[in-house]
Amino acid sequence: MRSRVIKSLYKKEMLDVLRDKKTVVMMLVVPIILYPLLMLVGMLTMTKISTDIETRTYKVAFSKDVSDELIGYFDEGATDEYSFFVYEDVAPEEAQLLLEQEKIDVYVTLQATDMSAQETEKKAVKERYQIDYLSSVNNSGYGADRVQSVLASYSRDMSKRLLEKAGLDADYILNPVELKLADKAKAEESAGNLMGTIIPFMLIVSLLMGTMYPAIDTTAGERERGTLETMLTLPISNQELIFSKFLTVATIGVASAILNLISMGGVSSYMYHIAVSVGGMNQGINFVRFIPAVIIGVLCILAFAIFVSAITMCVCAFARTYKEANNYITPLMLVILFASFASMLPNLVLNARTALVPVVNICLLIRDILAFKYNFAIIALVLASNTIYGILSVLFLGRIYKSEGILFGESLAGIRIFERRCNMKKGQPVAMGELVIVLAVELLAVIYVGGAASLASVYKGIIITQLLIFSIPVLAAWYTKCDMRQTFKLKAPKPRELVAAVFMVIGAMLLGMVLTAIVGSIFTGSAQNAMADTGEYMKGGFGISVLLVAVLPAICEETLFRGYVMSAFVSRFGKVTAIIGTACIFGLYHMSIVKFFTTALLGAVFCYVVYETRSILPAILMHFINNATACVQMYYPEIIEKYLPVFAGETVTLQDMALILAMGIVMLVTGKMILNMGCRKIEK
Amino acid sequence: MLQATNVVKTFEKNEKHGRRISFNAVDGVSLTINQGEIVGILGPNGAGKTTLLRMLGLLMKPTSGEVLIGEGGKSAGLELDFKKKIGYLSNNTKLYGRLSVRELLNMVGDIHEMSKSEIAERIEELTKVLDMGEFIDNRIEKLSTGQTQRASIARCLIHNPEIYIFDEPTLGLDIMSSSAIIEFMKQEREKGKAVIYSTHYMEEAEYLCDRIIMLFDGKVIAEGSIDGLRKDTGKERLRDIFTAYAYDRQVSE
Repeated sequence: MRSRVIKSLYKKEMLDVLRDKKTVVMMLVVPIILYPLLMLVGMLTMTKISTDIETRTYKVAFSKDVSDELIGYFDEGATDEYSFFVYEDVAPEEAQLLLEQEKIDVYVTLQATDMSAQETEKKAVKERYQIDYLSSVNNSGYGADRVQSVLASYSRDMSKRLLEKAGLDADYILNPVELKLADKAKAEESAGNLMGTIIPFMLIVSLLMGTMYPAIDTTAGERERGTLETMLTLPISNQELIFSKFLTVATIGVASAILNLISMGGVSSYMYHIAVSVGGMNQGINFVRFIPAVIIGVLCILAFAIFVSAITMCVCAFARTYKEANNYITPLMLVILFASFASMLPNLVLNARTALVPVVNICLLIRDILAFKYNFAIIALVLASNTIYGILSVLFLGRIYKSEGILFGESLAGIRIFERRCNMKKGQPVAMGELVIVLAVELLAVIYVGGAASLASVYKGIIITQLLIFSIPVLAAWYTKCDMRQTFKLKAPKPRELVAAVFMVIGAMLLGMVLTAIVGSIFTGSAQNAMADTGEYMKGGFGISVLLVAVLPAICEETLFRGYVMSAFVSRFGKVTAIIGTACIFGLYHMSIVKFFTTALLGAVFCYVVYETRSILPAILMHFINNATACVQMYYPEIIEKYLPVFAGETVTLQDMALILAMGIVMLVTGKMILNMGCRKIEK
Repeated sequence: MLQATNVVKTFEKNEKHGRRISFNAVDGVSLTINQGEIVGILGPNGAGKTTLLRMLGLLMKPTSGEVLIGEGGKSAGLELDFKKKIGYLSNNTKLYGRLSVRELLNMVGDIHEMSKSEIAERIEELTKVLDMGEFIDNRIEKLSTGQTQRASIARCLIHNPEIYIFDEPTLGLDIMSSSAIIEFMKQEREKGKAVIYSTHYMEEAEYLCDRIIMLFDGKVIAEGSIDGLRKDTGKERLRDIFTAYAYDRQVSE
């Protein structure tokens, strides 16, 4: 990449983007005006509402038998805190009506006492009051609270009198323990804590807003305006082109985030001054203590801006027009916004695990920094993971931007599921849009239907889940008149290919073990959980387990993943993207961070074999071997211990790991060589 | 100057009955363009003209075959240095509406790694030649169609290329603008530049081209000077000549 070219491209992109009204509005107007405005308006209405509640005169009605003494507590000036308007001698029927018409807020009655009990036991009788209110009416609810506290003080006074009558120290008996709550947090810490819950969310919203428009503009917008081909006529490499675009989007994202921070900082300091002058907050915030937090925060925002810019651009790169890009970016925005609520969840803390979750980590980090919790190891982890995600997404972006389909405006194949079946052409490949729908339906079905079935019994759950996994893609493929043989790769494999598959699955399993060990050491604790689940399956005996855990999933999951999903990817992308994409979806399907890497690795190997052999059977065999091994391990751990001690070893040493890794690689390479043997013969 | 040997470009498309099939948009085309000549590419829609020109302009990589540029005859691939010798213009090469013509030309010059003074001189020169003085500092989105076309030509001239590749440069233009482009191509031929361009206007090709390449279904069905083609088919008008070749082709298949 040549710096001069990138510089002039960057300059061009910046001019182009900054001269676009939409970007400028999103980047400047929104953060500078809208957010502070929203915050102020929000604060003002909140204080207005709360003062209304405080200063309101609540209308209280009493039934006839309520004593004057109690009513006296509600008279004007009796309490400094609340003010009441009193109606006396109101009948219950009338009160109900008045309550409903909101003429009164609360109605207090004295309950009839059980006279017989009084006579037989000669005991003092409690005064029982009932407070009627309508929880559906706000003022009535607040009024009831106030009335309750007045009644409590009435009750307190009464007990005091009674105690004194008995010659006891009323004050001591009523309050034998004195409590005082003291907030020892420094003023800036509590301020930081408060801001820490809001700022991450606001920041992410503004970053998204800031990057969204330039991301669309430099990718889909450029294609829509037809300037992309002009760029291609120039002596620029694709890397230079995409890198300069990316720099532009990242610059604007960061700039917009910083603008947001500044304006939010301004608003916060304004509100702080108000708070201090009103006297609700302790004075003496030490602003110097915020400086390191701000510096680290800016670094994190930089890394995060890179990540956000790259993924928004990745999404937009597939779109040909503004409108299309907007459609693609909305779900992404929703996901990111949802994740950014993390900072508002008090139970979610930043640790080694959450530090790896994109978006969530940055929210938690900012929250922690503002609360002055420093853990440099974890900050480093957040920065590193964001940087890595950023780099990965930039690399991916560079990859997809290289494809001529993207550059010369081939759109994603349409969704045919909503068309009438008779209008569909026969033998079409699976479209990406259809894949998204099928996966969404699959997800819902597996969670709800499969989940409901598994409540009844574990076996039922497995069977129904697997049947759903199998039938939904098959139905979708049938409905869209896909070529079944091609989509699901129904082709008899050669014996050589099956042998290769066996080698490769063993290799993949060995590598998977190493990976599981590595991931398990990062996410400690989850590995045991995974093992605990499997115990449930063991009830039915080995044969049934093999059938349910190995045979059924091998067929059903392969039909979905290596059949339907991979066909959709292959029809649109190249080999590598198809394999990685399918493998990632396969990994995600297992819904566990710990399992993700291992299953994705296995998935990738399955995909490779299916791609090379064009037959799904080797993958079914591989899947079966993998799952069956797990079964054997569950039922007959002693067999594994005897013949393959390395596998069973509870404490795997580094040496063993290296051995397993080497064995795995050897197996994979051998498998690949066996696979390729035939190809060379054909070429000759 | 510019040479293509057995260039093939394969695309995938959905066919009537069946699976996604691959087809060759350009199917084994070989051609040579020499200094000081204008070569016209004729063919119906979907014949592969644009794809061929995109490969010659190094915008696309051929699936197989080679594009050679310059005297050395080295394989070009998508190497950037070769792009500097080419000026490529098509209906799809739009300009950045939010930049002024001068800013655009500066950017293009920068990307061609010309020196600042070189760029300034060249802009000065082009402004005179293409009569862009009154709008050179205006935003491109504000220009008229004719002005935009002139700015586009300036864009592909700024680095003083040796080879011009034009994809239907006169499509949809009025008589004044299209004759300006035709005159421009003639002038460049006088300067010893090579021009290859595609068009649907047979008269224009007859008037302008030294040599005609007829493309049909991704293959070259005829090539030669207009006189040569006339002799070969016994037809007078280019239109009829093309139909004759296309008919022969279909019969022989």
